[in-house]
Amino acid sequence: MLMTVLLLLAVQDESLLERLEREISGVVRRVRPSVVSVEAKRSEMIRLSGIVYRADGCILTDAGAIAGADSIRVTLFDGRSFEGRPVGSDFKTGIAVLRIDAKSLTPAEFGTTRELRSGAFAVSVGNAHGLEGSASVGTLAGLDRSIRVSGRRYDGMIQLTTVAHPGDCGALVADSRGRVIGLIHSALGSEEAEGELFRLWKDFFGRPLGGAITFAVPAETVQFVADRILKHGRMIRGWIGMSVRTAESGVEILKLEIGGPARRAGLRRGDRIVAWDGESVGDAAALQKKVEACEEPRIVKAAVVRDGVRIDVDLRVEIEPERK
Amino acid sequence: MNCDDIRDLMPLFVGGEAEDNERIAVEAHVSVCSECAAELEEFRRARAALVDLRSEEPPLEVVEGVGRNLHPRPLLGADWFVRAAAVLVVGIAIGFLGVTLVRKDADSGAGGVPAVRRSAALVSPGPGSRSRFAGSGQEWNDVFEERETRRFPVPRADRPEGQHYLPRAETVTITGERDF
Repeated sequence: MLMTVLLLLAVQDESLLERLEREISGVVRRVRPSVVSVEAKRSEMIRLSGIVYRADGCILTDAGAIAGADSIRVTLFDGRSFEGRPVGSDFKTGIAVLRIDAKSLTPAEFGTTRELRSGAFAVSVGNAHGLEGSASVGTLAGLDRSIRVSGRRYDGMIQLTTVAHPGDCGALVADSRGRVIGLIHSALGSEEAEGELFRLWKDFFGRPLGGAITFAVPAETVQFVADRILKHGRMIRGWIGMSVRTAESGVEILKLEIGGPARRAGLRRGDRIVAWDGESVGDAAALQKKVEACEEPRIVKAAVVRDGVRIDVDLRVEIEPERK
Repeated sequence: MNCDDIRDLMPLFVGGEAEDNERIAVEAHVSVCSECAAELEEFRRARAALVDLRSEEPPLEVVEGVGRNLHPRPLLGADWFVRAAAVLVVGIAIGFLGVTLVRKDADSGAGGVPAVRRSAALVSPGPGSRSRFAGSGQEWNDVFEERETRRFPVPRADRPEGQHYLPRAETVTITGERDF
């Protein structure tokens, strides 16, 4: 009883802000050993961040940065440096897997964004402008965002208020328990959108202003892609060649890829998929997850509504062709 | 070369310090330009007279000839040196006083805005200072901040060359569209 009272009294001495500071520092301290810096030698040296995925030397980083690199160097938080060998890259999500000859690394503990809500705490640790272990605190600002980077669309991204600077690409984002919820992908900003002030900043400092709207690949996607690449040597996902969006009931087909399995099966633009493989279809993201989960070609029975008439279709889910 | 160019070369030519091509140019020009030839002759006589000049006063025509080639102004008297020396002494005294006042205010931590202004002409901020002698107190305080910083340099992170990578999201579209 006395000990309880003493403990309570001790706790009262710490202010809420001090406790918050202690918690956040603890998260940074916990994840820091899992953050690495990556240097890719291309026409010039590209510097970014990476995450230790497995203790046996598996590193995750950004696919676009290391594409076509002559050599890759990975530096751990303790200063040790290794040559990075690409295992595979997935340009649809921007995730790349590297291998280094290092053992007993500290892999990051992965969480999930499924239970997160906007406003949840987010702590990012990266290498902003080459400053290793730069930490930033913010919140989860949104889920399931679609963005466009260099003409390519990325879906299902999480939006954060943590500030990302050049060099932070590939950095990890952790929740309040220090579990990875995302891998930093990009930051909002363009020459047109940023305005005169930001252009002046860029002209003066020679670099763009750090973005306060940061996008990250969610942890589930990162793990899904990384595991597939490690298992098969390249990204393997199911594919039927169509663009869809969530409709009132089911999923509406917007576009069909020429020569793709969906078009060959007779599906048409405007068709509404209401059942897939014997189960009702929730939304576009859920159907995408079901299709991409396939690791080998298979036939799937789907139910489609066209002009109010239900049609049963046999679809062959194939493996997505490799694209850059 | 024109007459002005030749005139500029005359002292070197007369003093035997002209380069070969310059000497040739002068000789060629004076052989066809009577005015420059006359001027060159004056230079020669003036130099000869200066060489021989000791306690004697120079011939009037030499003085006049030299004067024509200089900016027209009254000849300074012997007290010129006294006046120049007096100005120099006063300037040194002001400078010494100003530096003393500046050091005193900086050491006493009195804020120093008025004292800094008094010594405005004497404080020369180092490279990188933001001060612009505009008379703003904050700008002058920045001078001391810069100097303090130079005395205790702040360690800077080592940032090797190379491009630090972070793609820019060009547009944000929330359409719920998925491709697979």
